[in-house]
Amino acid sequence: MKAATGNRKFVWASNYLAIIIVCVLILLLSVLVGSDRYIQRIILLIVLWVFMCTGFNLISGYGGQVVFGYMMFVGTGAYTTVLLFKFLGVTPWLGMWVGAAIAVVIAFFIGLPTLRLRGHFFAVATIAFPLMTFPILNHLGLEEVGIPFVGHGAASLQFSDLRYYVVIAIILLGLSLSLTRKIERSRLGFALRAIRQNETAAEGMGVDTFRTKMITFLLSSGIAAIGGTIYAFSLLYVLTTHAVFGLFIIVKVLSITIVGGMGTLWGPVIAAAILVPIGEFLTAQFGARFPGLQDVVYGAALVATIIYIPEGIWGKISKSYYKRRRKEMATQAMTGTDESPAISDEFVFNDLQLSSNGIVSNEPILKIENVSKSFGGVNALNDLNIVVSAGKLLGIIGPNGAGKTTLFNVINGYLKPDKGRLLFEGQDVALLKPNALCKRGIGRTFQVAQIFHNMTVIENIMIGAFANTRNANEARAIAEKIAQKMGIVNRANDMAVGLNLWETKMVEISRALATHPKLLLLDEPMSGLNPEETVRIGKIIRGMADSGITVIVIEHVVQSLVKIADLMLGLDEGHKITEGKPEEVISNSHMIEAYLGAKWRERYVKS
Amino acid sequence: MENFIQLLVQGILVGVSYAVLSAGLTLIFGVMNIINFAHASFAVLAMYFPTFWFLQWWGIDPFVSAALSLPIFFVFGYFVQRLVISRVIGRPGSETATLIMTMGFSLLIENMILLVWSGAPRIINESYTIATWRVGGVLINHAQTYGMLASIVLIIGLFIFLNKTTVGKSIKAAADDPEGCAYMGINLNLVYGIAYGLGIAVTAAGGCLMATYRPFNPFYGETIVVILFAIVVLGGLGSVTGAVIGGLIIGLVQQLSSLVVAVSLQNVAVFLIFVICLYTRPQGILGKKERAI
Amino acid sequence: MLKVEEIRSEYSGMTALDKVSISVGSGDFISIVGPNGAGKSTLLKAISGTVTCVSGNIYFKNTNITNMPAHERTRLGIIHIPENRRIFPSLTVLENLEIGAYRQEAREYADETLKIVFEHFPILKERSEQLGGTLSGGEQQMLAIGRGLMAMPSILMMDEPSLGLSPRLTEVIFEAIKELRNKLKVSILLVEQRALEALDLCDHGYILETGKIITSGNREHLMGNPIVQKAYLGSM
Repeated sequence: MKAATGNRKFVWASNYLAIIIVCVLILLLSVLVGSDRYIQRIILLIVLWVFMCTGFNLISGYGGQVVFGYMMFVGTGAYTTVLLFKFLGVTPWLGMWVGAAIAVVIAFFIGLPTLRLRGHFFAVATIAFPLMTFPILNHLGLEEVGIPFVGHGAASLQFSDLRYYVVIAIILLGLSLSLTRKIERSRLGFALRAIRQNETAAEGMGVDTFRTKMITFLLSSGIAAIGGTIYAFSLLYVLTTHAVFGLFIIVKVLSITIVGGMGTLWGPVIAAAILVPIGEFLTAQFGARFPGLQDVVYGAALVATIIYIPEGIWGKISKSYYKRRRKEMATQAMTGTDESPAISDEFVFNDLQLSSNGIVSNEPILKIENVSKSFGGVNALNDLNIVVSAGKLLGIIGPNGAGKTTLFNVINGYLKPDKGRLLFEGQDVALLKPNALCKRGIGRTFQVAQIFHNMTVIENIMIGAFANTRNANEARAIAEKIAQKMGIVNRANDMAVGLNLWETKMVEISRALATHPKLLLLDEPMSGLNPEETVRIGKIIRGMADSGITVIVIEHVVQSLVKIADLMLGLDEGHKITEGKPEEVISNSHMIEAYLGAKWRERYVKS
Repeated sequence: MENFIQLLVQGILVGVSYAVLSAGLTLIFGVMNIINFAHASFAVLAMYFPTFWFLQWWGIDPFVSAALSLPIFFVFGYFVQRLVISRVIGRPGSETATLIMTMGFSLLIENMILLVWSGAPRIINESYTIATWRVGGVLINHAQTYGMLASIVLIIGLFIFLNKTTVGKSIKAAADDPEGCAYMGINLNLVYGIAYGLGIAVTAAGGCLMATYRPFNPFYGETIVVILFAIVVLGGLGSVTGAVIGGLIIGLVQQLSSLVVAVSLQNVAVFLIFVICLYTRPQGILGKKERAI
Repeated sequence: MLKVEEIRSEYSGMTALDKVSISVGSGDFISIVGPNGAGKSTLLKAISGTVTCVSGNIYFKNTNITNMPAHERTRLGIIHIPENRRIFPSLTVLENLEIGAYRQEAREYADETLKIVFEHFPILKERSEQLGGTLSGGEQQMLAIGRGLMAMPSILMMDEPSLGLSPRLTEVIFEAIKELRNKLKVSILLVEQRALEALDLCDHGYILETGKIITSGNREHLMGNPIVQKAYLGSM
């Protein structure tokens, strides 16, 4: 694939080598500059702030869950270490890990209830915690804690020359950047990106959204705590609640990360290198006459960035790089035959090593027993009883509001039935979360395609593949194989947002296939397609069913559905009207009545 | 017992002033789904301008300034919304984006205040600032009482505006269903601008009233912004009535908590209620929409 | 009066309307029926301006309105009552109706129009002080239609008024629409999934399937026509 090798320039920029080089450069800079305390301080500040931003970036940038209460962990780390040092003589080398551990525990308890809150509620909820801790600590007389200068140098993490701290900070930064890089490429990183873009879809594709967010939150809190410790010991003589629990910390971290680019590796580095020196310079030069000038700059930068370059500096750079690359590749492609490749007319899926290859039995794979579901006063599902045999292609039809999509949502776990049982392969699964059901073998597509727009085609499919493997390379291999089969491999490295309708549907189906479903739920796959495409997708769906996957299709294009379905089922107002062979269902008088009304049936249909 | 009644009275007085500040916040959220982080900062700004400024230069009474702040901040808020915030609404991820953007605003506002007026705490020194009535064993501050009366007038005015005027009803309609408004031919941008301006105006007036009895500094907003969030969530996002009820409850909690814990911990009690509310009943007491989860 | 010429419209990346042409004469009752996903709602949205057309033209009273923004089309008297009613739950019935008369031309006549609305929907008069959110589904639908009428439309477009209503209420609504049609001089464009009622009321109808008009004709031609059944349920 041309695209992969073409990314080499950017791949280089983001790999571990680059991280090491940058760290070494900063180190050299620090050495060269000599012992000018003022400049050393700025370098230290830059490195420290970037370090703290990497923690923030993990959960808030990559994960999209903005933690406004980040200073909770910074402060926890600083206070734990300083108090242990001052009152128990514990060396900060040990203390910082204790601080990190406590921060992680606190994060766990904060995260347990808060992580299920949406978007800006989560952000605002987390801010209450550090603001609560502030007065508590003040009350305990800990508003100001002098850090005793014991003079043991390295043993107590106290150096008079700032450069020692710079070295420590750089090592920590290198580690955290490497950690971020590793996560970016791993299953966790993919899961985070998916959650950030479309949490509902991610959940349905097997991503344990809660666990993923929690793990990342814990990591972020640990990093924050260590950052707080270094910050306290290197730059403060007196530790105050304001210095490590104050609002300005999240403001700075947020500004740097946003201006640099949320969810990018180098964004915070660049932004800190710009903003921190400017801030320090302004404070030093004008701080006396114009206090607060620094924060005005930060505030303005924040607002301007959100309006004009919401993706941040680094985000903008990588976007324009990719745009140019795509233009180059497009001109190359003009000469070639890069249109949709010749897809065989036959769609055979047996070679895909899906979990259900070749299984056909008369055992029911899915049993819906007396299921009812209502919301908002509407009875969406009324005492439904449906039995689905393995390996069959079942079509579900019914007028608008019949409850078809609600049925799917109950089957794959987005909704819990009010009454009744849901048996998948004999097990009652009504209370399982969608990601658990996905891992058990229930795959799904949506009425309005829920693809991850800011990921490439391959990455989209990989999210599905990760339901069955932890290894990123394996996931990629699976994704490529499926993309090949579905005829979209030529678009493998294109962003999903630019695809046409057919390609989008192919991505969604591929992603669902990658989860190795035993039961696949397709919600209106044919909607919006032209007649030719409708026939093609019909063949694909039929092919999947022939390879052993049980497929249930909701459709309104009944004409096309009858050609491929083994069995059909008609719903109306949450009730099963009729089921059986397609030809029987579509001529069933009750079905006609459901669509066209009783009087039509009476007047015009010969029963 | 006396102490209890004193705190009860304090709680109500403080609660009403918080309610005024929160009413605008909940309105803005209800109409535009924006958490206005800068809300408290606008209130603090009003304490400096017009209140402090007008008093210092022209000897204008703060209560008059409170009335003047309504049109001043309405226009200010309207343009902030139309020119800046509107650029970000409607984009995917705009909820967090507007939250961050308004955080940027609060930064700008607070530090501009700092630049112009310095960080020294200011107080208004009118006759009513420290004068108190003595009722039984309970001391009631004049300024706070006048402030409470003025606040009640403000709140009633807000209710009348929202429920009796055409513009007010359009705002309610936009809060219910923005797309539905589009079908009516209502210009949503205009409505949003008016709603934001209105929310800011009311909070500014509330700020002026607050300034009559307590010292203020450029960063006072940081202290109270989460209290306002707590009130708005407790009362139910989008409900002005809820904000009033929430304000009273929080005010009482804050003041009465000093019966049990040290005064310096009174806000901890408030935050605790906030967190508990978010976990157990995120839509609050009168919440119209279950937006939190 | 309204002429839609070969419009193409795209929605979420798919072609929702493919060279669709319809025409509505003054005082006509036109019905558009077809299965879900056929593009019926999109057609109304294209006419009211909520959705843009990639190609084709729309003429209203001989003016080309293809590029006119939605709120200006409302001023011309093109009133769209959307799917799912979308009345305002926190306003009273009366306030909902008043807000319907938002456009300049309608405000002058608001009082008289209100009387007419109350005549057609006496239940609204009964509940005029009640909050919109407390009404039943059927009453909300009537409110939505009444609100549309308050705007003094030249053409009133209704999107699936029977959606989510029980069979009995559906009958009530269609009775009300029938009354409207008999008594008022407004042109009506009705989009429905329920073919029978919609075709029974119309002067002229169109059957829409996957974005295309597959057949059209006057009432006699369409009622009982097996093509209609095929559009919904296909054939073997």
